[in-house]
Amino acid sequence: MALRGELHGLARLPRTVAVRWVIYAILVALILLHIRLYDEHAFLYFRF
Amino acid sequence: MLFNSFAFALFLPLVFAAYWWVFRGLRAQNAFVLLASWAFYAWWDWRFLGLLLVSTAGDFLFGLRIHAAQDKKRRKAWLMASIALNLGLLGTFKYFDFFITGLADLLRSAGFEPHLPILGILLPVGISFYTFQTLSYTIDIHRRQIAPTNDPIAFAAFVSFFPQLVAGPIERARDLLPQFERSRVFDIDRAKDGLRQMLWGFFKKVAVADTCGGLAGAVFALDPASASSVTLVFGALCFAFQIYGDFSGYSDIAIGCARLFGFNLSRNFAYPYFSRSIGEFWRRWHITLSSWLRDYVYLSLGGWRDKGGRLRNILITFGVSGLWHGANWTYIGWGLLHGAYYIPSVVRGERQRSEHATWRDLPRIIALFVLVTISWIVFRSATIGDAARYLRAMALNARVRPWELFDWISLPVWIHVALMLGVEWHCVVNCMV
Repeated sequence: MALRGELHGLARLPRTVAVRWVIYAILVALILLHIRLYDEHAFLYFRF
Repeated sequence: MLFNSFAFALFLPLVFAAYWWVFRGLRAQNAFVLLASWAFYAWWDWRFLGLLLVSTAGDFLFGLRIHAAQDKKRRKAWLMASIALNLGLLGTFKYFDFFITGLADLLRSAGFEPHLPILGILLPVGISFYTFQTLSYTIDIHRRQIAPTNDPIAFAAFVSFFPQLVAGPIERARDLLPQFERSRVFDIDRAKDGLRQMLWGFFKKVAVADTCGGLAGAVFALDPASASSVTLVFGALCFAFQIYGDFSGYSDIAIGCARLFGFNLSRNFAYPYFSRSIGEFWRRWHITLSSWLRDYVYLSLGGWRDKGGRLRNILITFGVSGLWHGANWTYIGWGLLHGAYYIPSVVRGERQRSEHATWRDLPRIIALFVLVTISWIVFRSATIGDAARYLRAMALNARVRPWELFDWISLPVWIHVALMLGVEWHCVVNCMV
């Protein structure tokens, strides 16, 4: 059972350290591939 | 300042370092967080900082007055003043033009020629979130559920705390305010978990929501009559994943960021797209708003012990939820549609399911997801008429070629969505949440 605050998508990853770091690396790579720091995409909920 | 901006990439490490290594005392840390939060907010438009200050100062004083008042009438009068202040700000800056336009249409239909003023004010970012947060503070004091704080810095920091100021989670004073009133110690495990949650949030925002958003925007800009149903279904699915990735991504970044500073914020999303009923969906989607509306609208309406009263209260509460999202009939329609979805479970007297979902629940999960995605079409459309046209074309322009959903343009979207759903499904079946 995850603790309060640890209830998020990455809270329960495989125990193997190498697998965990592969997942982190994939996520970082996808973020860097798509992020546009100078063409900012505001969050939808800012308009509410 | 946006989380996914160059400015925030500089702001966060600087504020983090100064917070833990320069400002070590509780009051100094609170004052520093407050100044950093105001700077974060003023980055958009410094003029709106005035509204935040008015709301903060007003509710700090009203909280003390409500608590100090001896008789019931005075307590209620101070509470009403707080509600008038907060709803007055919200009404003026968010809903004034909507209601004036509605009134003008009504008068026109009755044969009058009204000349009513339109303010055309830019919506102050986050106003719906921080007004609800401060409102809950004074209402809880009036209900004697909490005592007011005497520390204006701690209270202002509670209202303005930058990770959750502009898009939630909407915190209750009883949960967050005490965290500003006790010393915080740097905890490396908590900070590491915060970074992990931020990483997950950034992935959902940047890789899922923004890629889905571009395609959803393109489909919703089409004339539905000229588009195939497959294209329209694709647009609706893209928006469903855009809004989830965007908003739950924001919440994850906010909660993770707060953990870097030693704070625990409330959970706002609990894998809502794996819900098996509409009731479960609303216990998993925007949890802090749903619980706010339950506690301060639904239960305040009274008469919820009989079935008829419950049905009325559910429709009113979902209508308010829709209106909270924006001054447009599409939002109200979206809220009422969810209310209508909810009614059968009230009539049947369904109980909450606490055990977590399994593969056997997949048909129910998919059926619920289809209903929720239909509601997103209403939410995303510019008008109710546009939503009706979209839904009609989706049903009638039938070309049953589901493989058209999978081409080179949509492939990255599906890969990101599959990764997000795969990781979160793993959590659903392993975390007992």
